[in-house]
Amino acid sequence: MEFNNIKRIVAETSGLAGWHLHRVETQATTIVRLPGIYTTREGRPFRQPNPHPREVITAPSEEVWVTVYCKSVADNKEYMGEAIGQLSIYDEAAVKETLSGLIAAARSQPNQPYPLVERTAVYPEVELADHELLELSPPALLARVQRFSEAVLTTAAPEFGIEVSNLEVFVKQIRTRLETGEGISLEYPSTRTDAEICFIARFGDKVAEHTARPHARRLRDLDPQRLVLLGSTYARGIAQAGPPPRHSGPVVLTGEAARDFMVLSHEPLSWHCSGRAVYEKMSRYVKGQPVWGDKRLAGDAVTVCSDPLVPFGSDSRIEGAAQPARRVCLLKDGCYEELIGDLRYYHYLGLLAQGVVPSGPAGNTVVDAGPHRTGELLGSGPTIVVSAFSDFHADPASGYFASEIRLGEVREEGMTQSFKGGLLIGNWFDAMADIQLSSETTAQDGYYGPSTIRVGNLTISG
Amino acid sequence: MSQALPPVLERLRGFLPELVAEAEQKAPYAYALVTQSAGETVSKSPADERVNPVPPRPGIRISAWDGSTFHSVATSRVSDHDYLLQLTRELVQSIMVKQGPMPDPGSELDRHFRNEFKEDPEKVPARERQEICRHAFEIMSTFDARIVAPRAVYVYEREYRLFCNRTRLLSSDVAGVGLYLVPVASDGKKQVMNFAASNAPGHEAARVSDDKVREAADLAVQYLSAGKIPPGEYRVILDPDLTGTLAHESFGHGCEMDALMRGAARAALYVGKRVGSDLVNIVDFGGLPGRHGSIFFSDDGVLAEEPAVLVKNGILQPTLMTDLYSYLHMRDRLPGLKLSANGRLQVYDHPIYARMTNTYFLPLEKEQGGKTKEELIADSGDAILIEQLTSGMEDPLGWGVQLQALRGREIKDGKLTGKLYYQVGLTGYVPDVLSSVDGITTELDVSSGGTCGKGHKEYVRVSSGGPYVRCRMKLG
Repeated sequence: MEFNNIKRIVAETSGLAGWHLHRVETQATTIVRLPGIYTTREGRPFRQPNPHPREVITAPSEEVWVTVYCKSVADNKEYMGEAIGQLSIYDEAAVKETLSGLIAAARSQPNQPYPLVERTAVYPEVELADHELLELSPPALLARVQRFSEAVLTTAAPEFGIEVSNLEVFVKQIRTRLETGEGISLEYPSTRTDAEICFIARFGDKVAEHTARPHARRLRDLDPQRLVLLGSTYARGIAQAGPPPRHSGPVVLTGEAARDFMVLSHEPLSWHCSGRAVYEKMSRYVKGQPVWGDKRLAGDAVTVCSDPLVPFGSDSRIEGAAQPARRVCLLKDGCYEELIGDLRYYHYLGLLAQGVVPSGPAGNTVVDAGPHRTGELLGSGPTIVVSAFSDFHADPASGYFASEIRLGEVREEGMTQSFKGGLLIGNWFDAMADIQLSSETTAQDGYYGPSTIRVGNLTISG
Repeated sequence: MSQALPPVLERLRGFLPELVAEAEQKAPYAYALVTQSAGETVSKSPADERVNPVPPRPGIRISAWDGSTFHSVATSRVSDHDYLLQLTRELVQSIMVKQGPMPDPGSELDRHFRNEFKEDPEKVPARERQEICRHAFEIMSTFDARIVAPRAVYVYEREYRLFCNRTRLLSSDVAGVGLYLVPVASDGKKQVMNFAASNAPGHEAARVSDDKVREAADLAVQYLSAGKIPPGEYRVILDPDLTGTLAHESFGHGCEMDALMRGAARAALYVGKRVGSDLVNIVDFGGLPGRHGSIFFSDDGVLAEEPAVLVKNGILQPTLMTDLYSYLHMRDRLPGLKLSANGRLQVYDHPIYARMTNTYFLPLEKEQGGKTKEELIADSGDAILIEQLTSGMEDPLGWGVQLQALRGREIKDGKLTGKLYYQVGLTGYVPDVLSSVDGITTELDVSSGGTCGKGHKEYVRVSSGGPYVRCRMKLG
């Protein structure tokens, strides 16, 4: 069934206060490779090369999603609700049946009414597509992904003690069309490359694996040489690491660990700055107040933005639920500034009436660079440096975290001793009161900010 | 045979053999897999009440083996049979058949499976789900003024799967219901969150007593005055979900064949060797009825009939979890290796990997020293009872493990003191942790519901569980 027919059916459906339709056409290509197969011989691992991919998947798909908005009246009060679902692209009767179910659901929701995105909405120009990838036919796309995977393996081959044990590359060409009941019509292309590359370092009995998970809009932004260099360095470090020290005091976070500590999806700032959390009174957000509460600032005042407009950013977006995306500053010089949210909660909070434009979906994490050179943050005395976590997440409500260290090192008098294991313990909000940021910055998978961070008040449980 | 499938899937089921036959015109082995999820989610929080039916979201993949690689094509356009035939022809035209191991399609079988439930969730009207959420919300929000944002969520999922190769035509209809309670408490300065869940195949999951709802809210309030545990190594008692997750992260991921075959699991060198105390028995079994990770057959068509015993009396077993690819490449290298029902994918257009299902520690019979929970606490001297898992992370090569829990309860001289710690992280070196297991209870509880990623992606439904287990871990 033509998309325009689906649009016509939706537009002609009675009882709707509004609707959005998203058609998403995707051509996806996946290659999974296990470059070597291991067995055990005389108690030792034995590797045989495996030149052929494990699996190759091509996936052409078309999906149409609808969001319906309905109003209802009960006890002389007007209410509003919404429901979202996928529509059949084959069968008019099925489309109508799905719409009917969604409308009944939306009408049963006794929520305060809220406005919908208006036709006059202006969408940002954001580069989301790798045009080289976008134009490739499915066989050419597969060949391009195959070349990338070969390049990674070839680059890694001469690395001493290093092998790539698993290589997965997922590339998508996506064409999105948005139509709304308010008359918005928008089409935009995007591309996405996600990879998982496992590096194993083997030095006799010392063996360790590090997994790189790069994401990019453009395949050419994934540089095999850089990926191999970084992945090999992490894997070698972990393989040679000893047990963790016990420590309480300053800890320097670099590389992946700095990103994980600051990126909005892992830390509690985005939770407390969400319009919904503020409206439901579960947030500590107070505009202009410091994020660290009544503690005294002992470091740099941090500025954090959600920016979905970074060209080719892996977390960049044009819109979310038809709401145009925009950059918002969540934390300005250590103090709460703006909120992340859609039209609904901006309306409930009275922000729309003040002329504040909703943020739309969260985007890339952009943290202002600090005043310190990296060498200064590493210091001259004994320093604990953490460069990778097993899985860093702070409790969104309280900010507490206790995350296993995958790779760290103790630096003292020009010597370094790497370690792994143990927990890095602290509170994300308290950390903001005593944090120093490097002037050198990095761009890593949706994080744009200082490459090194020194937090003054953390504990390592060895 | 009548399959009680939705009409689109019923038609597709009849058509799949044709697709497989088309693919096998050239490929030595082919199969087709269809997934479709649907259901309804209902939630209630202070500002938002939601009812969202999830309309069916189908997809199909056709996979052809060339002797060394699976080539697959996947699409959401399941109703256009001509299009599917065309995709299949294009798929097999592109492959070059090589010498290599050949899959055994298995004995002939045409069967439909459906999980059992006490109350059919399909028959529950949205209004009733709404009332359940509203009731739980009301109890939590009136429990204490410090409960600022309680949230109750009812999730009903219905997942259909169809598998077809030249000898097998399988389909399954698996229902699952979860009721989730998330009270957030605040004293104006500090915010804390509790989480409580009830999972079952049917609407019976939502039959949660008012006392249980109040308990969830009460814990959130208690967290406001709870401290952080002083970092260090402790004797701990893990609740069944944490116990199962310890099993999952240690010799669950560590026994996935695709990790072993790429040299990324140290377990390969320890088969037949001791990896834990005599009390450690770890099993993965998708056929355990009615659990969150239960399946009837794997996504490469293997019936979930036999538990995989991974660790027995502390000794790592050769019973590894395989998917079809890893099995084909390893069966000649590891004599005795079996194809297990662990090949799973997140959704139809993703790869299949060797994955866990329901992973658990076995309890200990009373005669063998198994205790009740109360006896285990009384026998523990000073310890911490750890409850309510939030996440876990594996390291099958380095043998590290990370668990996160919402709370720890202090035990002094074999008695719970009432002192509570909020947000506890647990870690340790896997062999040290498992070797320190010295107390186990008699009851098996595999009731948790969650998802497991291969790293940080490819999420599949799993459950973890077991008895209460006592061991030593580093906390912080």
